[in-house]
Amino acid sequence: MEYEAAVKGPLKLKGTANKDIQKKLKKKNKEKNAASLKVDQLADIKESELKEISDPLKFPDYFGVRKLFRIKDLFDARIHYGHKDGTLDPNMKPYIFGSRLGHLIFDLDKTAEMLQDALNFTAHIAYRGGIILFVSHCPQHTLTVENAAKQAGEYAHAREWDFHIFTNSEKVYNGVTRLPDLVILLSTLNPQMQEHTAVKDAAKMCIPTIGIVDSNSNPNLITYPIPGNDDSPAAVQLYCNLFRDAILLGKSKKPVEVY
Amino acid sequence: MASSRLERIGNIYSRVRGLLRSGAMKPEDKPIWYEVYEAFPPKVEPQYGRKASEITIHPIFYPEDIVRAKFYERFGSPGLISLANNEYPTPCQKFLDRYKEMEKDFSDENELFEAVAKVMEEEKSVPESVSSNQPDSGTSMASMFSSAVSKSQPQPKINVGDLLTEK
Repeated sequence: MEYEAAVKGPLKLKGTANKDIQKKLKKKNKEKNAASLKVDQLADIKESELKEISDPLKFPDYFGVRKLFRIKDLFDARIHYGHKDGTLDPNMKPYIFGSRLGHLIFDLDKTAEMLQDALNFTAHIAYRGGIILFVSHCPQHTLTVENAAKQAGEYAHAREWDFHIFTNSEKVYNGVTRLPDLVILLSTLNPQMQEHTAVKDAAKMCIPTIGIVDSNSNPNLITYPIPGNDDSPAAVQLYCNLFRDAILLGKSKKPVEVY
Repeated sequence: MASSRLERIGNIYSRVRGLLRSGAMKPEDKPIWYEVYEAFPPKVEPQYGRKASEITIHPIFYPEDIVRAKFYERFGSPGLISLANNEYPTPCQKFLDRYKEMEKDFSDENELFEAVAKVMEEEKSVPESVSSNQPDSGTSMASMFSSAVSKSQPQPKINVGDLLTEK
């Protein structure tokens, strides 16, 4: 399976980087213990090395987003419920655990892993001062999404999507615009059950997307898809809370460089 | 500043990387997400035309489903079950718990089922068997209508001529 091959593949950058840092720290501790503490030894640490040690990108989970949720929380919020067999999008097959009397059930282990990746990415973007846009077209969840964006101090577009917002923004807004650096889609379908325009437009404008893909959605164009239920209010509330917390975690750490 | 709007070719990372390498995009214009993406790439590379994998979706069945099917055939459903409330077990769940307890005493499935059914009926933990119900007291649509017809009082016959003659 493509998904599992990719997981077992050579994406070990985070682990080895951490080991390099630990090796360096061990070496320094040895030197400290061998000779008596000298201020000169501490000054030997070059400024570039110091930046490398404290660079958030070197840590697998710098902001601690793994602690934000457990799989039981996903289960209680009914995230494992998909739609019926007939509406399954073939690209979603790797993420389905099975079908219970015609109702599709998501594999929450995979969902949890992909959710952690997405939250980590969100936190890093927030840390670097990026603009984050929450997008949803489901009228039932407009209030939830907009409140989450307000609490996070970021932006939301939970209404009807004008086709030219991204691709022709300077005409629509009558001036130079800065497009978002991350788009979080709480639902990748619009009320007409077609793919939301934001998915394609963000891919066109080279903006990374995080999207909750239900069993009837296509995850191919989304940078960090999260397979799960996007229709229950409980599920949407959970996602909004998690993304809001990830953004606030990212903003709480003081950045080393200012972009 | 150059950009590439071809969403069906590669993904955003490969396109921006190409622009940077060719010099069309200057290093200071590098997007904020570029380094984060390089450090934490997605598990599956986003790609427009990726072919769906040939996986069969397996149905989810449990060994207890056979007992559940027999239970619903015999006793029917209580009608309204709250999925959110985990405090009170449904009649079917109680039946299954008792079934598990008594499993070691019996070797034949049918015998075991009948024994458990008898015990539960004595304890009045399950509704009466659907098969043993009389048609009048049943809760099916047809029986409700028939009972309604028999219960309805005969309409009083109104003679319009009589009404008009009265003053």
